[in-house]
Amino acid sequence: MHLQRLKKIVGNYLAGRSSTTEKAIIEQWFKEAKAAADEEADIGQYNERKALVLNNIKAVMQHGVARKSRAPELHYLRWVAAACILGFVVVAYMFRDRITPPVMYTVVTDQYQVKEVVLPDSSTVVLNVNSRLCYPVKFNGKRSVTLSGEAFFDIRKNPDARFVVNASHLQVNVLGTSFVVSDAGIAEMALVGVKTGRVQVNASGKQPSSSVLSPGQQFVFAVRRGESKIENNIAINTDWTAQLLVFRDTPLSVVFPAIAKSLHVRIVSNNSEINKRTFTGSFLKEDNINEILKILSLSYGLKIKQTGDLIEVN
Amino acid sequence: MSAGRTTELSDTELMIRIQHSDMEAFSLLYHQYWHPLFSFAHKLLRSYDDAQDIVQTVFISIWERRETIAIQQSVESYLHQAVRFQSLKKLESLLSSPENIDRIQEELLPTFNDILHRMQEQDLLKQLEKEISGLPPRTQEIFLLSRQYRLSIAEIALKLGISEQTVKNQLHIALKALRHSIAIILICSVN
Repeated sequence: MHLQRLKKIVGNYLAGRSSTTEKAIIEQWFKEAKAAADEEADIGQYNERKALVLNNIKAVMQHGVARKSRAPELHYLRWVAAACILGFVVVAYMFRDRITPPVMYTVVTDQYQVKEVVLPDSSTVVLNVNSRLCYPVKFNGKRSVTLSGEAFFDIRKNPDARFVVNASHLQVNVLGTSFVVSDAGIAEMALVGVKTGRVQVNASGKQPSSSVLSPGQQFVFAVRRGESKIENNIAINTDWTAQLLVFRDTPLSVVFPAIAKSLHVRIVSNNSEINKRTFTGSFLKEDNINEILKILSLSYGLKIKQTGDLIEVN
Repeated sequence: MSAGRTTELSDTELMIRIQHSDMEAFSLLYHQYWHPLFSFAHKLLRSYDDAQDIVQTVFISIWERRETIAIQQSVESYLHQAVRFQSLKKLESLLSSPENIDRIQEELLPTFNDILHRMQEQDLLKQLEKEISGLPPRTQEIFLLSRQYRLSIAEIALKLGISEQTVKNQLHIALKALRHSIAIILICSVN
């Protein structure tokens, strides 16, 4: 059986015009799933989802109840006034996007930072160093963000609202998948690599192109020549997404402030000999300040004293 | 935790209280049926997220239609029926979006192909049974003794008090009559 046949079977069943065989297939599907579900004991394995869904339902329920439980003995004129105000509020609410431009957030990483951002639809984006991501406080219909630099996107599936990444040279369209976009504007190459799902890429070159990529494929756009190609069987590198800070031959006088900024601590280092030494390496998101300090003190034989959020290096 | 309390109230009583907008009764019903419904939807669509959406839709729809809802059968089968319907609708929408091709090819189509395959096999066995029952009674008996009970020709001859040659002749008649169905079954079971 192929996809089209299944589609027809499902469609016929929903429309109530299945053949005997088609009906039997769907009913067997139900029967087997039910039997498998009956076999599965409830040991609280889905409790997290259970609580989440109940919360969602309650939100809907309370909204409905609140509307119903409004006191009915208002005077006639008060009703009219209330209706007018309500009408105005509803209209204002409906047109709020036209009245006020959407509020945008901008997240920027410097040359040492890697940052994880959670979007309003709970998709996650990991921004690599020297990147900038711009997204609205709330998505209305189409989900659209602007990127400069490199980022890994893990997009929550929503067939009704496609997700669009606008970069300097590329535009990426998806419904829900994970992929890497690297388009810094000034770099020679702009890339889109797909980790899961399907991704559509539009490139603005001499001849604007549009391609659909599958997992393991990478779209490469040579900026100056305005040409694009698709590479296959690429291991999309997302190792960097686990990182927090990345340093390459960076003087400690720069490393310390970067750590301080990311981990919200204060670091004092007055020894100029120490500050001149350079550090190469990266710290991961799961590393806490103690581990980072331990790594640095072992690497350079430093004496580090921590009191509250103040750290002194000698 | 809530299981002790739900047993005090039958599903029908819960539904009556829900019809009177009793949120606590709704909560009890939810806790009672969350697991079987979620698990059912998950086995159907092989996705926890989809199963979650489906159960949520079903319960919200019950609450929203509580005043007009008329449940003919048991609450349990009503809820299962609702999950079946929502799952089918979900499957239909999955099948219409190219985004999900991989998931359908890898997880959903094999399930349906497996079902279809087994159904075809069963049809053939049924047809074979039907053809066997169409044979003369004596031939039928000898054939079943030979194939189903795995008796040798000598054993059958001894058991029925007939000559071995008669048994051979009868088996030959049976196999000749059934060869078409048997061939198809052999071909299918090899695949």
